[in-house]
Amino acid sequence: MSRLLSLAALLSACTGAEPTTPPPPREKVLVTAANADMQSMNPLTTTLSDDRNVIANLMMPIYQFRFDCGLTAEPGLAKQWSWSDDGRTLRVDLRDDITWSDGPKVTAHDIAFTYQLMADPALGGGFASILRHFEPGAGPRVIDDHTLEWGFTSAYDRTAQLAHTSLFYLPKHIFESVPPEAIAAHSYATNPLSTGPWVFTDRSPGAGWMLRPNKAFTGPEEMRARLDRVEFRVLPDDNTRKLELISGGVDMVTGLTPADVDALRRQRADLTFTSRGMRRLEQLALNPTVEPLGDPEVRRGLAAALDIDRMFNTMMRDGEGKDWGRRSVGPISPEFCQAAQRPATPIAADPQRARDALAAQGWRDTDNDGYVDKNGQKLRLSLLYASEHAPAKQIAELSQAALAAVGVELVLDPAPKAVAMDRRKKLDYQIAYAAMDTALFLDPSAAWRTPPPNSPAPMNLTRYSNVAVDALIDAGMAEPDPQLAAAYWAELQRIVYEDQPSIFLWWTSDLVAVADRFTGTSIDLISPLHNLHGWDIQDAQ
Amino acid sequence: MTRWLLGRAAYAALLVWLVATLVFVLAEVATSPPTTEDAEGQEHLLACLLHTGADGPTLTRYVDLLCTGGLGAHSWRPPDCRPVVDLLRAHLPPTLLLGGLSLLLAWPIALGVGAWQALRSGSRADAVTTTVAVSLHAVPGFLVALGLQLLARPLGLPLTTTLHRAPIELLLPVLSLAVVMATGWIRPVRTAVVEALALPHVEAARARGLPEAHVLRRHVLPHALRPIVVLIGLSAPRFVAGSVIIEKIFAWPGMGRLLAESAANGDAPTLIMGAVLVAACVAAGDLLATAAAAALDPREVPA
Repeated sequence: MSRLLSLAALLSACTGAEPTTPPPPREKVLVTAANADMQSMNPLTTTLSDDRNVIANLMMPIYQFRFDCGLTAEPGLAKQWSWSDDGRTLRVDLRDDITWSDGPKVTAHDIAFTYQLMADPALGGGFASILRHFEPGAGPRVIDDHTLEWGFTSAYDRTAQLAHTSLFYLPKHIFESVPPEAIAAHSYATNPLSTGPWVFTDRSPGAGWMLRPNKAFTGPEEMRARLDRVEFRVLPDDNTRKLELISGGVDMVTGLTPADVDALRRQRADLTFTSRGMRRLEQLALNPTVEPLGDPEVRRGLAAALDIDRMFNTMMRDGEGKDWGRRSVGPISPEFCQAAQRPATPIAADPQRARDALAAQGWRDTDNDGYVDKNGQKLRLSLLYASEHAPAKQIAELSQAALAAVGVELVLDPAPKAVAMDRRKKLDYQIAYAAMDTALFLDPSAAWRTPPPNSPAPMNLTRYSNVAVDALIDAGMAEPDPQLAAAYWAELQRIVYEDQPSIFLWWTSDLVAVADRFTGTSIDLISPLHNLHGWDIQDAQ
Repeated sequence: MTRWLLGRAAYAALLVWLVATLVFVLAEVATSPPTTEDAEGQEHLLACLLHTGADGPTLTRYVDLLCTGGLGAHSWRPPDCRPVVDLLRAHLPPTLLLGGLSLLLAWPIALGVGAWQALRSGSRADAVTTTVAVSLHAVPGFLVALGLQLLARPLGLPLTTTLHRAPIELLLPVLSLAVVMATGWIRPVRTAVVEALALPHVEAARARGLPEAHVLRRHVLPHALRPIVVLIGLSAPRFVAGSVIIEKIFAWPGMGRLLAESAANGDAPTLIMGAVLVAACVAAGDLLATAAAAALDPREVPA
């Protein structure tokens, strides 16, 4: 009997009948490539949109924005809000259950304090264009700990008004004892608090940082982080980023080109490519003080000479025939569907139009050398672009070939990015390549309104000035209903395109590659990391 | 000897002063604080500049540069315009680590291979080794780095630096730099050893029947080391300025990347600090190499 029992025990051991410990679940980790090191996790001082995208995941947003033909707001930290009849007063009720990761509750005082700080001259006045919308005092009135009231100098696009009241907020209990001039150097830049689903950790200068779930998060359950951590690795070299993506060293890369998509598809099958939406306008700014670029028909002629459709197909179409952008017919992004619903007809490829326009200004090829001339001077123009930006170089070379065919010698003028930006700002160029990001709500003021004399207008590349456009901007901005404002924007689009102060090339999208094992990704126009808390890995067990 | 060394030190100081003055003038003429390009941040001026004295009198800033070697200035890096000395503290140690390990690897390789070749001077092995070394040296550093990354990928080795900073992550950048350094040094080492082997006192030592190892150690190496020490001394700036390409490819957070990013962003104070630091290292490296060479062979010191 005892032998039988021993045998049974032995068999039991051999067949694994003993209860075994299940293997621990694999950590759910997203590793994403950052193109550059972070500057600061203090939203008041960073100048990088990539930093703001990370910060957005640390904070319970005042409103949760979605983009669908325009921004729409849903409750976040703000439970509800109401407008006065004239649209100049906004009353906001805040949730009372959200806390900072060091314990205190988020209150209306934090928001009011932050807006007061933004107005402090010691912080450089960088928020003046937003604060000018508010009544004197430059911020909200605190009604009680969880109620705010905003006063606007005038009503305008409601979404923009909401966006202007929800830029960000800082913990008053940390900063109230810090002099404004010391805020930029405060350790909060690398050791920020959280009110949202993630906390910022493991910063390693030049190498990267991490987000981990905020265990002290008191917001809605559906906003809790599903991943165990998100690693941001600083990989400044384009090729290294792609190599790491192919080899699995990172799961996500942004800022790709259509040509990259083809190459990456061939080497890694489990990647999903997503377009964030058309937010960036690529253009060739034409300095109107340079002869003959002051003449609108010459500008239109040069646009016709370029054959922009062919350039677009060369640069923006991938190997499978998918377009990763759209030809531009003016300064309003096609993502603003209502405003862009009556697009202007794009200028067709027509080299003869350029020759005729130049001839009308006295530029003809009198010495049969292939280039037009006037008073014995060949027409030679230069094209300024940032030498670090490979697509700009390709656009410059394609433009050079196209303009040579109509008798214009285009000299390429590459310069380091900082120098190119500085020269553009000073109008120290003849033709300049520029890629400008548009805001998430329509406000063409900075780029297209007549700039005040003798003041910098870094977004108005050509110091464009047109009283009709100024009037349309005033009317459009004063109209709170986006559907009604759309008519003004469509007319503005038509006039500016007709003027062609810049050769409008195309709208491009930030192209993002993510390993397809991630679910719940919500890469969109707002951010490649929008709602990162919803990202998950289903096969992690 | 002391007087001679003091003269060399004065020459080094003059060199550093000239470079500092030149880069200061260039920066004054050519740079201005950067701005941002996206719509949300376009008005975000560098508020930090308001508090750093960046707009102070030119003479004050020049005197400050001469007194502190540029380390007293504030960078133009948003958002906090940190003192450049802070940036140096963060970026110099990784560069010194990378450069130091590469030197430790490259120097024995160059010395060993160069001496081995010299002892076989004129043989087929010598010709083949020279061809390989020269060919490798002709390959740009970034191609060496990319090639090593491609070789390492199937082996599962880390291709770049991660947040975890495992020692294995140093392998590829150290190898890349060491290959670039060693292949550049092998040929001068070989030439120096060949010349030393032909010296009369070496032939005399051999004729006396001294063991070959003894001849090499006592009579050949001291003579051959002199040009090699100078060569290494002149490489000193590389250990401080870092290698822009290698650091970028391997995401190594060192001085090379710092200075390249500063150049791209027009951060003049950081660039000035970098230029002065490199000039100081060139001068110090030259001084040390000259002193070392003089110690190895006192005939180097003029009477």
